[in-house]
Amino acid sequence: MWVPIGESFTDLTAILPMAEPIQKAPPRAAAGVAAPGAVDGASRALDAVMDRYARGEDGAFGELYRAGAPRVRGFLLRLCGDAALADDLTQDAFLRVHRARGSFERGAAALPWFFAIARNAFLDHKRREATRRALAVEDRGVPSEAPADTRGDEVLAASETLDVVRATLERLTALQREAFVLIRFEGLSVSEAAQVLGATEAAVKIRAFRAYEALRAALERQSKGAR
Amino acid sequence: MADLDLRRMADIPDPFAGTAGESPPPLVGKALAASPSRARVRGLRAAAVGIAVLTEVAWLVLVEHRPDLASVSPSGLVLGVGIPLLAAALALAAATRRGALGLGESTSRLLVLVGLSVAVFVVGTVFAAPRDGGEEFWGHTLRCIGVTAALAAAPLALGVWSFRNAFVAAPVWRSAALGVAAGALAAATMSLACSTDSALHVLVGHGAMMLVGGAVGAALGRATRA
Repeated sequence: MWVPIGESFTDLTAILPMAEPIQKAPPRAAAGVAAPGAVDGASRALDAVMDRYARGEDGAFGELYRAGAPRVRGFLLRLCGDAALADDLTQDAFLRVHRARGSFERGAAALPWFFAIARNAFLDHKRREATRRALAVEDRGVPSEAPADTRGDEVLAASETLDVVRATLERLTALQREAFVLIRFEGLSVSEAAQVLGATEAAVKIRAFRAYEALRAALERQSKGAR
Repeated sequence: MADLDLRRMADIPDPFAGTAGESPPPLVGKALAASPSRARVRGLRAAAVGIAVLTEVAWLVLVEHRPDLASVSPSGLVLGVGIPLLAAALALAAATRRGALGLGESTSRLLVLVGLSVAVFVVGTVFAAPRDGGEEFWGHTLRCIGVTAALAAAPLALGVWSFRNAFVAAPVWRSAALGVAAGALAAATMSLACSTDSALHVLVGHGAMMLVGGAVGAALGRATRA
């Protein structure tokens, strides 16, 4: 069954044999917790699966998608701010992973490789879109559960803080946003982020810092306005 | 950049922390077209290099080679062919080295290698080639530019084809490096096809295609992007 990328997949029944139903991953424990670094046990397992797939083991694709797609989706969600778009771009990214699998070097790191491909999918989407409204936030995200003894106004303040961060991320330049997301939320080092983005380390560091300055300023304005 | 302390970024909360860990829908519907494995891709690229070299040899055998080939000094031949081949190897390395993470060489090192490739050709030619003779310059040089362009076309096309969907980062720069390599390979062939050895003629008539090839390669960067 042919399904054009970009349409909603929620009501489709044609499922590739290799893609088994995916369990929803548990939500993160708290906002602000940095994502795992690029090099850890889960990343090494992902590297091994991608290496098997690159060697020609077609059956590894399902395992690869289950293991890698949530991280890729998270990265794309932070880039575009739209959950449905992030889902579509994740699938586009993994089709690109499939096409490029022969170029995955032995011993390479899979997650930065996926991020670079996902970024290309995002950039291609941006080029196709006529205006920035296609990237508008539609999914405000699942609000974190407040501890039982938290006052309501603290919960409201935390939600507003996240809204300020989300809105400011949208207003950043694409270069600043992707550098900041990779380093702050995806846990890559400056060197790793520079390789993913195809830029120099100095440029990436400056972009990420400019993004941080903009976010910091927005949060300070918000806290002053709240007093 | 002493005050660019990125550790301070930790105080910015993640507005997508609640949903970023969710799994996307399963990949459905579109049948995956066959995609070559790593071994097959390597074989295709090795074949592309072989075919590129064969096209250069075929030109020399079937179209033209310098009439004074038998009388050229061995050192002159080695330098004339070796300098551009070394430049081609540097540019090819810039395009294809895997880098620390397997994403390709870092942009900084890539640019250094490409610059070194061009510098090796220029400096090597200036020091190894004789000074200009009295012959007409532009008529002969423009002809050689055209021939070099024809010689570079096939290697560049083969390079872009064998690296399609391969470069995940900085594809424009890496494709440009492939173009520089193709131009340098053509310049090496021209040292066996053209009997004019003067430095300026070699730099402009044979070597200009390194820069043109780089520009064309960069323009074809979308084809090599993953």
